[in-house]
Amino acid sequence: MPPQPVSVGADVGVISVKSPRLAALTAAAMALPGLHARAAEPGLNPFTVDASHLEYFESGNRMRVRVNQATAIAPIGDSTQLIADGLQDVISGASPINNAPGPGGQPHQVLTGASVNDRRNAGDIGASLFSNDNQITVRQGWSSENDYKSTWTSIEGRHFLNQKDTVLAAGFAFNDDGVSTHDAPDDFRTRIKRDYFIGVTQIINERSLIELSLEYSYSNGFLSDPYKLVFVQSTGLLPDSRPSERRQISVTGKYLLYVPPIDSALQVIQSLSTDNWGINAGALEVQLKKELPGEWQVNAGGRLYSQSSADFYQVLFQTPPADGLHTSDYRMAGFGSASWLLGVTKQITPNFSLQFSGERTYRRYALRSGGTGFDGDNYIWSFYLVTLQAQF
Amino acid sequence: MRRTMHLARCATLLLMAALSACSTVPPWERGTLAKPVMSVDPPPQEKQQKLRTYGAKEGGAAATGVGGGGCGCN
Repeated sequence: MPPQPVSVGADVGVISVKSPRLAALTAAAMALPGLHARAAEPGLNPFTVDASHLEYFESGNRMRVRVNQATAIAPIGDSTQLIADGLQDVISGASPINNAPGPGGQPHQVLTGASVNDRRNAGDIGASLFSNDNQITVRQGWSSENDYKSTWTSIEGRHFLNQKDTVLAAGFAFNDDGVSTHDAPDDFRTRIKRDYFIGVTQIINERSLIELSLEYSYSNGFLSDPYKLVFVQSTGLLPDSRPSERRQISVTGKYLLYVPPIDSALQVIQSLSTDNWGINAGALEVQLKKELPGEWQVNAGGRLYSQSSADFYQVLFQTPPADGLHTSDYRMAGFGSASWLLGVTKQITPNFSLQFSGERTYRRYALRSGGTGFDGDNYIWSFYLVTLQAQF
Repeated sequence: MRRTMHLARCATLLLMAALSACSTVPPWERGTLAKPVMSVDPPPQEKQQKLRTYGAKEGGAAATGVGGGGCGCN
């Protein structure tokens, strides 16, 4: 006869944990499918602080970004969490501006030189409210750099049902951004984005679960990149010019399976997206995650990504398009990429853990799923992230 | 628009297929599901940095939840 469920249906976090074994049983009984325990159960983790440092860099001495970030989560009673998050980016290096015809008419990429130097400060505050079967999170954020300012608000709700075998999620976010340039730093042009999100996470059986999500985004305003140019054979260089509206729709599926013979979890993530700019994209990520003796956890895997080019993208233009829309931005080209992913987590003490994660991505024109582009845009980017997590 | 409708139909069919294959798992059998390796997302800061990097370097999108501010990423 199975033991009686300890806590299902009770308010999260109201159980007094007397021993590590009872704590483990409690955590298992209260487990919400696919969620980090501390993301959903404030009573089990009274106060948490995450501090991280990220190093991002690109091949060919292009962009380099250093990010320092700190996040604090403070429960208020059993049913409320307050969240505060702050980060600073330091960005330097060279960035592609345009393509130009080279010897023999072959295109090549023109970079800014090592002139980009910027600093971004961002932060957000929020609160989560919990009840038996519901969670609602509201966040308000800001981001500021010399030539880009952003204010955003998001609200996301979760509803747990079927004895918490199923989680339904829905969310909305509103971004109000202003874009300027170094040449005209006070001339901010408006860019608005709205995101609508729904999702379901479902326990399939005692060792597998699935999550399916659908997101629709609508952006309008100034959506061009003020630092990008296009080369037009008949007229020379023109500013990047994109439609003033963008509609994107994407679906993401995540599947997790615990494989007892190798004592590991297999995770597969598939995303597909399409938009009214003509970009169709897909990504497939596969990772193996394993716990090791001594409170270690490792994960390793790979990611494949592919997209088609935007309708208004060309490497070089012969004449200006009649509709006035043109870009040669390497991110609007047809391309794909292959990445490897690695992560290591060490629980140092019951209160502290240290986490390392890294990714290296090889961007390749040959991996495109349609449209046009060129090999001159190929490069490699990498990042390494170290996070110290503390809970008291 | 037809492509969008097709995508939505596929997502709905996938969702229905997934839900119909499920059975209720009682709390005392959720020990494996409670393991940290069975979390669908990485820790919040890692998830945020990864998505921001993908958003800055790729033209596609993913359904990953709401939240997070814009930036003029190069």
